[in-house]
Amino acid sequence: MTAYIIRRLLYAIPVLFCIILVTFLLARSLPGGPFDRAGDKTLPESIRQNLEAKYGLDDPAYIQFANYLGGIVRGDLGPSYSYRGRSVNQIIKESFPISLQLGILSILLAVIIGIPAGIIAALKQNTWIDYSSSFVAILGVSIPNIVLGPLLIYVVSVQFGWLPAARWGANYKQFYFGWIPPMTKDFWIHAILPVITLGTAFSATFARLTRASLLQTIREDYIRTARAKGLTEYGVIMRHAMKNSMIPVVTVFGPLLIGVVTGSFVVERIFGIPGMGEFFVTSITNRDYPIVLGTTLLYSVGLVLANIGVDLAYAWLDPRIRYD
Amino acid sequence: MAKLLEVKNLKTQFFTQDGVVHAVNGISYTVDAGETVAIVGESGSGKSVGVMSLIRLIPSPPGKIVDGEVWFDGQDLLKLNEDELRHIRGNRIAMIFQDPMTSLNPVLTIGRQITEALELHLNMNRDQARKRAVKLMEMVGIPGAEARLDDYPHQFSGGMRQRVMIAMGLSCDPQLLIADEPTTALDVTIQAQIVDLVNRLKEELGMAVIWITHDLGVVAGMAERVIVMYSGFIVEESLVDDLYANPRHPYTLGLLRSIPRLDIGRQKRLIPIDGLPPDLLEAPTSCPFAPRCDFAIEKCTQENPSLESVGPDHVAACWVDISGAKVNVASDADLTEAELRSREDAAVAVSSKQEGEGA
Ligand SMILES: Nc1ncnc2c1ncn2[C@@H]1O[C@H](COP(=O)(O)OP(=O)(O)OP(=O)(O)O)[C@@H](O)[C@H]1O
Ligand code: SF4
Ligand SMILES: [Mg+2]
Repeated sequence: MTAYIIRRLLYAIPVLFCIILVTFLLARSLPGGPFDRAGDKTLPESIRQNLEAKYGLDDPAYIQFANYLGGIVRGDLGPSYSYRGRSVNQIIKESFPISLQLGILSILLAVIIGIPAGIIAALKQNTWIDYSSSFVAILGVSIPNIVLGPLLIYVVSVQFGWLPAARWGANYKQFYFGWIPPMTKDFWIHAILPVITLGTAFSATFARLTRASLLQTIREDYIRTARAKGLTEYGVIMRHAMKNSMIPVVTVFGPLLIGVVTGSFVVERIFGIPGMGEFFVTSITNRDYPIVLGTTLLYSVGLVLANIGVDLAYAWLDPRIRYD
Repeated sequence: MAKLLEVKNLKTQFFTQDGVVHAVNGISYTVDAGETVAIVGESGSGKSVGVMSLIRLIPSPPGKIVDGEVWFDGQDLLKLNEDELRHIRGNRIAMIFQDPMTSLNPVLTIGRQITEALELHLNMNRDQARKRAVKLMEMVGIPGAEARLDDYPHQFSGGMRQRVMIAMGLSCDPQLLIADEPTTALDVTIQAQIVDLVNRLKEELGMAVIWITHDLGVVAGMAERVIVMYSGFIVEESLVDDLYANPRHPYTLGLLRSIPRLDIGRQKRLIPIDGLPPDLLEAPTSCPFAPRCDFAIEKCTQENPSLESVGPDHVAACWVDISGAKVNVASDADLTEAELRSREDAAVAVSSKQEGEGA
């Protein structure tokens, strides 16, 4: 198993290399450069050249690329062009944990609500409980974040004033180990609405998938065997059906994580959350190459690791799958 | 011997989109303690539904036991509540199923699947249950039992999985073991091993067995009594030897004529039963076997015969006395007049149809 994980990590290196290369080329192929303008004014030609020289942008592209790779090996993602005086490492350190917290909490919400809802719907198949949960699930999948977010803000924050409408309730100086938020009231009241906004669609996806998968599983012969043994209905479902029916659910985790990443860009924007989405989006318009590359690389690494995690979860759920 | 199980007028139906499937149409029989009863019949005749109804394993919806009583040890299983029934299932009545490939849970170890019932019904702790599981696996002839306890079903062959199923079934010393075509999915040599195994264990443990099969050939060596089912009805029931020597229902006769007999060899002609089983969507008003029966008379299409005694410990549901018909047929000379006539009619029907098509 350890050998398998190491092998997967090694395979990831060429993949990540290609991602960096393609991103590098795509970013450079956009017209314009990072120092074309300062605010609304165009920068004088001489100043622009000086700045480009300072950041090595006058070197041939392959040298720039080699330098960048060298930086990655040293763990240095370079300086930001548009946020003067801040390094990409610093920006990531401050903003990425917030995006991570938002993402993890949304997935947790999705799992905690979606899976039990799916189980209940399956066990009460074709009753009003099933129908209403299916209805809510379809609603949840079909409402885009960009509608749900403002709606929640309008109702919960503006009309009732129960929760703050924007910002995040903790910053990187308070994070344990650099990424675990303090469990303060301030943190939670700020987190609730964005997490609901981002998590709803995922929990609906989980609910539908869990329901379908469990309904399929409880028709299997081994479920009849379990009943014939005299197990309680709860024991039959929990011990014999759950693990089997979670296998297809785990499948969606990979695509789901991509959805979390892209969804978080939108949700962070709606709620003014100082996460990484902001930097990722503005860095492209600003031609801030190091941030574009750094954030892309970070998300890629995250997805690669998550996919390895999903495959390990498979092996844990299904003993017929073995990696060695 | 003491009656262990008494089934009275059991009726099970499936309420599907296409209509009501009359899977089991009021069957009654008894099983004595320690006895082996075989239930035979072709695919779809209601054998599985019949026995699964006994411990209420029918998927519901769409299935429903609409009538009947199942007396086991002084109580009607159909009237018990879920909790009471669970103490019977797997404990006093155990069941093993047709397909060992799909009947074991692929994600749980064999050990876990065997110990489960022990912990539940015999209140053993994990350790005791594991020890007993090893004993059970040895008893059913799984080599290296202790080491294989933590293996998963996919690491076993089909025959070994069926042994695991049997070990699971026997784990709580049931008084009744229901084996639903336990050998159908296995190779012929393995089939014989499983039959021998169940025979041996039955002797050792003294339990009663209901053995379902669609192969009358297997039955002779193991059962004392045979129940023949057709279209959800019991059409004949008899002691094994009597049934083989003197079948009284044309369907049973057909089944017997279609088994190859090595001892008689070439002299025996194998005669398949022509035609298809009836549509179960309609409640039968005639003998359900009539469309395929060589002996059918006018009355057969008007009224469904009920079981009548035709000899000691022998009942059959047929309007016609077929006791003259021979089981082992070497040539047409061995067929009865009725059969010959019916065969000629069929041949004429076929040839006139061909002529009609040619014209
Ligand atoms: N879940 C179900 N829904 C609808 N009809 C069913 C269902 N299960 C069984 N039946 C019907 O009940 C009838 C009897 O089926 P059963 O499984 O008892 O046959 P069987 O004698 O065991 O056949 P086999 O030898 O193939 O196992 C069949 O016609 C079948 O179509
Ligand atoms: S009752 Fe008639 S149709 Fe039915 S089995 Fe007997 S002879 Fe054949
Ligand atoms: Mg069957």
